[in-house]
Amino acid sequence: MGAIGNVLYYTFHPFELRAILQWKVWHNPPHERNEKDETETQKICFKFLDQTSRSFSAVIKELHPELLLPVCVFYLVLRGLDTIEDDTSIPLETKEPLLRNFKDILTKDGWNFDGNRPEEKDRELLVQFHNVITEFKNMKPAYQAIIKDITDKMGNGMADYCRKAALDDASMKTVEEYDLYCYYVAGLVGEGLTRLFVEAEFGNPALLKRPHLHRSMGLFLQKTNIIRDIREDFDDNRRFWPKEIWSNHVDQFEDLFKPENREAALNCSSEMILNALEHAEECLFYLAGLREQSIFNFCAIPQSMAIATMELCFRNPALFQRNIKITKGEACNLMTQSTQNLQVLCDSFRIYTRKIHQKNTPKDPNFLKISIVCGKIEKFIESIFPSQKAEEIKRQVTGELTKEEQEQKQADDESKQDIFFMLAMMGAVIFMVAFSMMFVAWLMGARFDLAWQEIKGGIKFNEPEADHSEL
Amino acid sequence: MSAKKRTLELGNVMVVGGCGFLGWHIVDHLLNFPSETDPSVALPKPQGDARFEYPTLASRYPDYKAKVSVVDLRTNNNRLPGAEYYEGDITSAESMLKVFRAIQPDLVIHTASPSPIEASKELLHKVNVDGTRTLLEVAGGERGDWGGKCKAFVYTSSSSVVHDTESNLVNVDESWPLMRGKRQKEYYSETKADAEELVLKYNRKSPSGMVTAAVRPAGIFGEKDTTLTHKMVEHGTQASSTVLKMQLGENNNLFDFTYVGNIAYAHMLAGSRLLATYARYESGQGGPLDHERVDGEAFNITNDSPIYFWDMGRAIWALVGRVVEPDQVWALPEGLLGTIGGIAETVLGIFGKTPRLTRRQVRYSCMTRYFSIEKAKYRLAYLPVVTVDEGVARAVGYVIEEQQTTAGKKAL
Repeated sequence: MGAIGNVLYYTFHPFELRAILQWKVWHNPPHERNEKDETETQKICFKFLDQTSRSFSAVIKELHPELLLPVCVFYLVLRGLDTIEDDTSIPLETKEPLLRNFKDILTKDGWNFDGNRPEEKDRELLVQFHNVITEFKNMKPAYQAIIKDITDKMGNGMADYCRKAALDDASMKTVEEYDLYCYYVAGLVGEGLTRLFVEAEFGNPALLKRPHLHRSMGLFLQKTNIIRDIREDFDDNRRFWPKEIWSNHVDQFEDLFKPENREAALNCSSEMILNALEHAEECLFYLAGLREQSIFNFCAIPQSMAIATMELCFRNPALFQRNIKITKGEACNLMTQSTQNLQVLCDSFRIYTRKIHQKNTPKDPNFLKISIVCGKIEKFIESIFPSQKAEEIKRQVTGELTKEEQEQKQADDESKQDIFFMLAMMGAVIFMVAFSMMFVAWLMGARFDLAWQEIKGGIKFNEPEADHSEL
Repeated sequence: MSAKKRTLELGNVMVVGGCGFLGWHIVDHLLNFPSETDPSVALPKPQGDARFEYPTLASRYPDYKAKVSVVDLRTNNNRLPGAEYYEGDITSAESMLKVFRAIQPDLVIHTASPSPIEASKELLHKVNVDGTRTLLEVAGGERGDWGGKCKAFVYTSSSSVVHDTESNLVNVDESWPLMRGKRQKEYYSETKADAEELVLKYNRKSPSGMVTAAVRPAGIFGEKDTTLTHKMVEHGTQASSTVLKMQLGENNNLFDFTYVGNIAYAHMLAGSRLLATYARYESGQGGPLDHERVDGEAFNITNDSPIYFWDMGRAIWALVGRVVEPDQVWALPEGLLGTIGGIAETVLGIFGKTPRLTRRQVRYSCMTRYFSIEKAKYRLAYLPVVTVDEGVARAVGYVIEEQQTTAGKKAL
């Protein structure tokens, strides 16, 4: 979109423009990087963070100083792994040991890798990977151990997957395989981050006792990406939608993209979205366990983006034709909503849940299941932020008053008494004044007895008129 | 899911109202689902249609060990092989003493109630309040010796006891107060609340020390239901497409609909917990802890998955071939319809008739009404087994197939 296009667009979408301005003007980062004191290698790490991540770099850079570098390095390590895994030009014999041993590379001073094909976009990160290694080794040992452990698990998971892709067939067959893949590429990140948060005392330790919660955090994001990127992945010859789901709607995976199968493809995407939405409740549960604002923002922003993306993809035929994205204005609005507190975030989850529900159609075989999952999200939000309280209803039934109401009532009674007293005083003064004036008038010879008789006899207003008629 | 299936031992069970809708399902459970093994009592179900395919109930609910006797006013309909049937009237102590002498129950499950829509106020009071009192007193041994001791009593109450028919109920739990007197605008619910109080207060008060509990289902539906599913299918097949597209309110209001089998299951869980509690008291052990107590308690029972009110109707209509797409919906505001309903009620009221659209119906279709079942989950270990969508397929399949069979019979 050119500049003129932008002007036109925002003229007709003023709310989006407002959201963007609000975010730019009013958002105060909870923490800011102190660039002055950064070492050369730290600067290089942040430069790579900007280059490799579109969505995460901004939130990472606002993290609490305690976790700023650990999370940045963690991200770059995973990005390095990913760059090796994604590169189809590297033969399995080279790739597999690299992935499996990546955890040891993290402590090898000066290690670099230039075996990526030139078009690989994050190639440069691996060429200069020694900077990441230097920073890794500067971290607290507890953080190092966590990152190393996750790198080990993820590297092996990826190696298994690449091996299967090279020798057999890597397309997902069952939903279980699909979940497992998402766990390796995203669920593990959730585990690593959670361990870092708890280690730094920014998260409730109970989060580690409920691993399904951080697993859901990762899976919800990954599944959202997989659903949104269906067209792009298909064009790149990658398939992540499990056969167990798409085979309910079409015979061949390719059929999803044929115009004549539009309805079937939409129903298939609904089933995929239904599967992803089942994690939403646990994501909110997880977010309730975070104790530090910058950590909350860091976790909440991607989650709200994900549910908004689900809403955009839901029953949207464009999903199968091109890459669809939420607008910049919507994204800014979501970021504002995700950087306050859990209740505000829940409100935006509820809004998107209802938008999904309002597009749900009875001709979809999963119509009721989608209604159920939306209802579950709403019910969960209600359970953490109840809108009705039994105590209030009980008081209504018994007619009993709350403490505040009682105080209010007492105050009201007192002020009523004051007003009554003042009125009485005023009445007394008026009476006294009137009486003394009448007394003075009487002393001076006023004939009250005549006036009294006149009042008793009735005042005759029509007398002058009668006189006229006689004339 | 669970590797090992549970077994619930319930002893000698007497199901009062066992020929009714819920009663029949309770008996079917207790007998381990003859409806799935005995063709003579199989439930009608469309064949060769994937939408109506689902796993058996017996494979998912627990195994029950019980001797089953049914007491009902009339026992000609809804009979199942394996149970013994007795005719009896709960409003008569003599009649009840007679069946108790014959059955000698350990556990009474009381589901009998007149239809909330058709019955008169007098009948509702007579059966629900007086009948329940008589049944309790006979079971507890207060009305004379019938030769045994009943240990536990489960009463089917209703979630409507906390509802004034107008307010929204959002994730309401059992700490909600009962709506009585002027606040309760539905007489049926008033009698259910009276009866529930009688039952819960009678806990451990009778000569036999019988323990009691109440189950409060919300929005019951399922095979053989003559209200919700039946009416919705009827509307879905008969209404014009214009009428079908009309919607009162925004349809953001969540509503609890509960599959009858889950409700039946909750009765058995309550019964089994009560029997265990009774044994504890009998053996002189201390009673249960307050937060684990089942005796003297009421439990909300739902599917734990409220859905948007109009989605229920649309799902049912789609199953009978009438799809209403979201962009075809004609959403009418509640305020406007409330007024129209009011006018219709007044005008038709003059002629002594009830209009097709009343204010209460308008309010019901626009209200939020769902419950928390945390108490039942924790104390009864209750979890819904059949989901709402499967329940809907079961209930609608039953109606469709039954209508076809009756139509076929008529044609012959």
